[in-house]
Amino acid sequence: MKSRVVWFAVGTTAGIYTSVKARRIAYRLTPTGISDQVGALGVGFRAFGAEVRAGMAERETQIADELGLTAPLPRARVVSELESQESKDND
Amino acid sequence: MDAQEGIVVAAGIVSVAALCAVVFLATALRRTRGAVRDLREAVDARNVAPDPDPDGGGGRPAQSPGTHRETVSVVTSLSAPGAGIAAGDDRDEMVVLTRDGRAIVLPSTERVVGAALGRPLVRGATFTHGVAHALRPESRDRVRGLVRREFRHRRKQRLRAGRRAARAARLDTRDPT
Repeated sequence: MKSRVVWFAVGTTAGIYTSVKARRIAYRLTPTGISDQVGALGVGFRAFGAEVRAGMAERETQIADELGLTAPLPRARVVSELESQESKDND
Repeated sequence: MDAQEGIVVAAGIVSVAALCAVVFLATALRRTRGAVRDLREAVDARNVAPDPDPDGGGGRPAQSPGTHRETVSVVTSLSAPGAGIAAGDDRDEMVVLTRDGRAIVLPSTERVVGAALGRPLVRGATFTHGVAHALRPESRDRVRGLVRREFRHRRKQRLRAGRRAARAARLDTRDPT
């Protein structure tokens, strides 16, 4: 009796999991799902660009420090923008 | 005197002449060096310690006779009233006024930074560093998480909108009016 209940629970869980996953995959293949993926990829590209700019600002600051130049760099604000974006994401 | 003795005598004369020439050149060189050193000391003394202007006329040093061709010494800020040049956006730009009336604008630190970091090789190096920074595992994971979160958010929004629309349609069919 006990093993039947266990197998029933396992089967139900597997069925629910499979149906949810299948529905999500099916949604991904619909036009609206594809447009959502494209939009999310755009967000990813923007985040990647912000990371590249942050790295460039970091390197420019290093070079300026090595040269003994201490003027404010135009790209230095990217770091603060990234930090604010991260804090917004965490909220 | 045979030919061999003639050659020896000629060689002796040539060597004596060469010795005299070397001595003469060494003396001339020593004299020239002394003159150059004296001139340099005189120029340094004039440039390092300009006479203060007793009248306060723009900080320009008093002109001593025979120095009207030498450059400079007066450094003023662009925004200074006596500079005679319109002040730009960069407040730390300095102007060097020469005695013959020319004004040499020294670049500001910001411009120096821009020129130094704007060179193609430096820009390429910074861009490469930026790409390497963005491809670090933590940055990659962060971007991947952002994409996944954004997709999930959009899907939920769309499903919510779809459910709301379906509910509204059901209410419309029930409503007899």
